[in-house]
Amino acid sequence: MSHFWTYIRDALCKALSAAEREAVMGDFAELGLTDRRAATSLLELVLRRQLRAWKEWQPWFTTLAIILPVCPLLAMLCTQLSMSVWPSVVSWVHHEPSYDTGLSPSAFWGAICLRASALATWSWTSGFALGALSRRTPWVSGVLFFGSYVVLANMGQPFSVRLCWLTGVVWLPVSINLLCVLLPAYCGIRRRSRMPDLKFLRVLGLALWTTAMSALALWSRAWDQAAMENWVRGGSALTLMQLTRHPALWNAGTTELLITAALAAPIFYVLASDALGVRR
Amino acid sequence: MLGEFEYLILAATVRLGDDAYGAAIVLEIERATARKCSIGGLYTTLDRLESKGMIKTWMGNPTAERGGRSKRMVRVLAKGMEAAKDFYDAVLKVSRGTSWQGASTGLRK
Repeated sequence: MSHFWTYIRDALCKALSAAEREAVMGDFAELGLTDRRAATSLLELVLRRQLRAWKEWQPWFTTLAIILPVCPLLAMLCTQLSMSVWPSVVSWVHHEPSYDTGLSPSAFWGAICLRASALATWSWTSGFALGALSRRTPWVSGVLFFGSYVVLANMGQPFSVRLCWLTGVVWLPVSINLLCVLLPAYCGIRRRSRMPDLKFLRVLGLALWTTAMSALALWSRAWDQAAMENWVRGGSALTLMQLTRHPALWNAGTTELLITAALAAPIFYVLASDALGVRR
Repeated sequence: MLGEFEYLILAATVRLGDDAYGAAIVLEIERATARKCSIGGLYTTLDRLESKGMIKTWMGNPTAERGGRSKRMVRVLAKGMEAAKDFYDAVLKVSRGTSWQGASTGLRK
């Protein structure tokens, strides 16, 4: 039981800044508090701090402008990615022939890689923005982000997949969710929490990178439509070279543009807050 | 107007002088009030008083009895002194002509 309270105390301590952690732990040592009393005292401190932090506008802004729009979109795109990869993997593992998508294998896996990279970029930048803009509530906002995402991603799965949690069917979507969204978002929050100051040029670089990845994702999303049109005309699988020369490649619909803009937006909020000198 | 706990912290800090820091303030308040004072409550109130410009805190030197850890030192600023004086004056004014001795005795009976 003693180890339990020690663990709780140490875990709660991580919510404090390094200097304050040292002062608080020193006070506990000097007062000779038991681990249990230290843990309850720390819990009181952390909860009071969080309640106070939520009286400011920043945590609410991150909830409304990042968590609410980004989580459903990430969950939707990640589910779509899993559904694209799944038939090819099953077909390849069990039957060896490749799953015909109307794209050459290199174009198909190129599209998958571009979408996965874009998802990881959006997740990382969303996590980073969450850490930068939520001010003193990055981990609570992070829990809200991850909680919302996990619920929405699970809801997005077909019912048959949700029923088979103990079978291999689930592990591919789970791995994709973990690698493309959850892990990058966690790394984004962690990265921001370890940076003492934001450099404008660094944020600008991140914004440019996010824009480039978003454009590539938008581009690769048009490949499916191109492959379908080509298949209807009886053409052979499209290669990457053919896709780059396809006429309707950049004709993305308004919905796709809005989705991409919403996913890329968080890093621009950080850029804007830095440029306008909004206190973080 | 200060709260009761805020006043206790300001008074204990002034009383401790250059030795005012987290654990010492807790002990001072516990000794004076004979009630438990938590570090969590103390640090939150210190944050609030600091944001109001009534106190200044900084990291002090580490000591062996604290396992070599630093202290969060506290000093009351002019605004804090003024607020504490106003609180004290208000308590004195409202208590003028009031005796608690009888009430206490009555309760015991």
